Amino acid sequence: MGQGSSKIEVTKADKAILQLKISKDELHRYTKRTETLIFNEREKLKRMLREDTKNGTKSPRARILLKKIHYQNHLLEQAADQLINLENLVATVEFKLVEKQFMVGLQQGKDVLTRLNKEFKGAEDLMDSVADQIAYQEEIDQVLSSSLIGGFEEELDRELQDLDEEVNGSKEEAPVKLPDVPTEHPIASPELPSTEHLPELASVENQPQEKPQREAQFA
Amino acid sequence: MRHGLAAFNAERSEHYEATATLLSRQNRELDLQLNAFQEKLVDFAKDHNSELKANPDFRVKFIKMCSSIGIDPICLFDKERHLFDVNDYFYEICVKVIELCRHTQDLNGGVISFDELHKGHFQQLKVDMADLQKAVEMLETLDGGLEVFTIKNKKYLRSVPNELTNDHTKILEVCSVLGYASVSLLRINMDWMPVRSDAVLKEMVAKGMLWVDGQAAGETIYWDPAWIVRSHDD
Amino acid sequence: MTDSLPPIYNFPPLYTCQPNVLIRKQQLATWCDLLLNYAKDNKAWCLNHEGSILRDSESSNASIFKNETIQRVAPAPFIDQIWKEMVRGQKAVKNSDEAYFILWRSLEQWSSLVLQWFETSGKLNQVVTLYELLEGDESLGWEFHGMHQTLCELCLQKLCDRGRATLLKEQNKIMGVKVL
Repeated sequence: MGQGSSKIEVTKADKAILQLKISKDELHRYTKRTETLIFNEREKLKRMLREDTKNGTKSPRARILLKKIHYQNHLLEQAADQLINLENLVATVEFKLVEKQFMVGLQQGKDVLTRLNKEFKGAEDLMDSVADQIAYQEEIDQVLSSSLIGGFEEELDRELQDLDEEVNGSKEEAPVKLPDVPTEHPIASPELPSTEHLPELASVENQPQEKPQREAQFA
Repeated sequence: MRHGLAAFNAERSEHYEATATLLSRQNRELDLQLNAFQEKLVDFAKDHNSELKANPDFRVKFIKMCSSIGIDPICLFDKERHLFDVNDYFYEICVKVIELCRHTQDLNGGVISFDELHKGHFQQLKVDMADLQKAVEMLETLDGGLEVFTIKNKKYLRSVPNELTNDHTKILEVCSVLGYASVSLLRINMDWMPVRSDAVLKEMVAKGMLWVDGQAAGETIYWDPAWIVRSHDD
Repeated sequence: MTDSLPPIYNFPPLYTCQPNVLIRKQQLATWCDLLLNYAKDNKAWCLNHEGSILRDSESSNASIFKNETIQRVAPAPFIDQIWKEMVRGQKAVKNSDEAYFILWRSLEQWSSLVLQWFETSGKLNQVVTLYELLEGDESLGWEFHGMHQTLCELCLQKLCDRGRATLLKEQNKIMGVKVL
C-alpha cells in the first residue's frame, strides 16, 4: 500500500502545466510585492506632505516618489496583464487536455463501432439464408397441411354432418327433402317387402323395454 | 488504469472517503434527533411532573434514561414548580459537586472554594449559592470525607481524605489575601519559625494543594491555585 | 498577542517546574493547551524552540514562555519538557532543529480540509502548485490559507498515503500536487 504502484500517473502535460503555473506563481508573488511597495510609498508620500504642508508639493523628493509610484503602478499593470495571459494559457492547455481526452474517447468509440460492424459483415448472407430457410419452412408447412389435412378436411366435414343428421335427425332438412305428395294415383302398388319376419323383429325390440320396467317394480 | 493490487488500493481510499462522509452525515442526523428527543424529554418531565413526584420507581428510571442520553438531570428541575421532589434536585447537585471535586483534584490538591464551584460550574446551570450550600451540607452529613471550612469568611470544600491541620488552614488563610504564602510572609503574619513554615509549605506542595514559584524576588513563594479563578473575576 | 489566553497564563508558578508529579502533569497539559491556543489565535504555524512565532524565517522577540506582565520566564529545561509533551501528544511536529509546527488541528484533519478544497473548487485531477494552494486567491477564506509549505507537504503526504495525491517535484523540491 502507498507504494509506487498506487501513484497517480504524471504525464508530460502535467509537467508542462506545472512549469506554467510556477511562473504564474512567480508573477503572482511579484504583483503582491509590488502592491505592498506601492502602498508603503504612497503612505510615505502622504506623510511627507503632511509634515511639510507649505512646500511639500514643490519638494523634488515628493515628485520623485510620485514618479516612482507611477512607474511601479505601470509595472504592476503589466504584470497583471501577463498574469492574466498565463492564466488564460493554463486554462487553454487544461481545456486542450480535456479535448484530447474527448478525442481519445471518440477514437475508442469509433474503433469499437468498426469492430462491431466488422462482425456484421456476414449479415447479408445470413439474412439471405435465413430467408431461404423461412421459405423452405413455409413450403414444408404447405406440403404437410395439404397432404394430411387439406384433402381429408372435406371428407371429415361431410362425415361429421352425416353423423349429426343421424343423431339429431334432419329436422330442418326433412320438410325440404320431402318429395311432393303424389297427385296421381299410383299406377301400380309398390312392391312391399314381405312381412314374414316382422313379428320376430318386434319381439326383439320389445323385450329390452319391458325389462327395466320390471326391475323398477322390484325396486 | 491501475491493475493488480493497486486497483484495490484506489477503491479502498474511495471507500474510505465515502464512509467518512456517510458517517459524518449520520452523526449530524443523530445529533439532530437527539436534540429533538432531549427537548421532548424535558417537556415530558414538565407535563408529568406530579406522576414523577408520586412514583419514585418511575422517577429513578426516568432520570437514568435522561443521563444516559446526555441530559444533565439538573436541567430538568424547576425549583419554583417543584419538579420531581425537591430533594432529588439537591441530590443531583451533590453528585455534581463530587464530580467536580474529583475532576479538579490534580489542579488544586482537593481544596476548592465555594466561589470557584459556583462561578465555574453551577452558575450556567442556574443553581444559586444557597442551593449549593444546602447540597454540600447534605454531603457533609454523609461523612464521606468532605469537609467545609472557612477562611476569612470564605467557605472552602476539602475533598481529599487527609485531615487539614490547623497550620494548613492558616496558610490557606494567608493565601486567600495575596494568592500566595512564603516563609517570610508567615514569619511576619503568624510569627512562625522558618523551619516550621518550610515544612508545612513543602508538605502542602507534596499534597498538591500549593504550587511552587521559584522566580519571585528573594525567596520561593507558594501559590494557591484558587487564585486562577479569583484573578479572573477581578 | 497573549491577551486571549486563559487566566491561568498569568499564574506565576506555571513558570516553575512543579515538584509534585501529579501537578506537573496537569501543568504540562495546561502548557500544551496554551500553546495550541496561542498558535491558533495568532495564526502561527511555526514556533521556534524559544516559543516565538516564526514568520518567513523571521522570528519576533515575543515568546509565549516569557510573560512580561508577571515577570516570569519558563526555564530552558522545562521548555524542553513542554516540547517533548507536545510532540508526544501529536500536538506539534518538529520541523528543523529549532522549530516546531503547532497542530491545533491534526495532520489528518488538515489533509481532509485540503481535500475538501480540491473537491469543492473543482481542482481534482489537475496540477496545482503549492503556492497556488496556500497563497493563491482561490483558497482565500480557507483555514489552511497561508499555511507553512513544509507543514502542507506533511498533510499532502497523508493524502499520498491514502492514494489520493501525487507530489510533483521540480529540481528536487516539491512544487505541485495532483489530487484524484
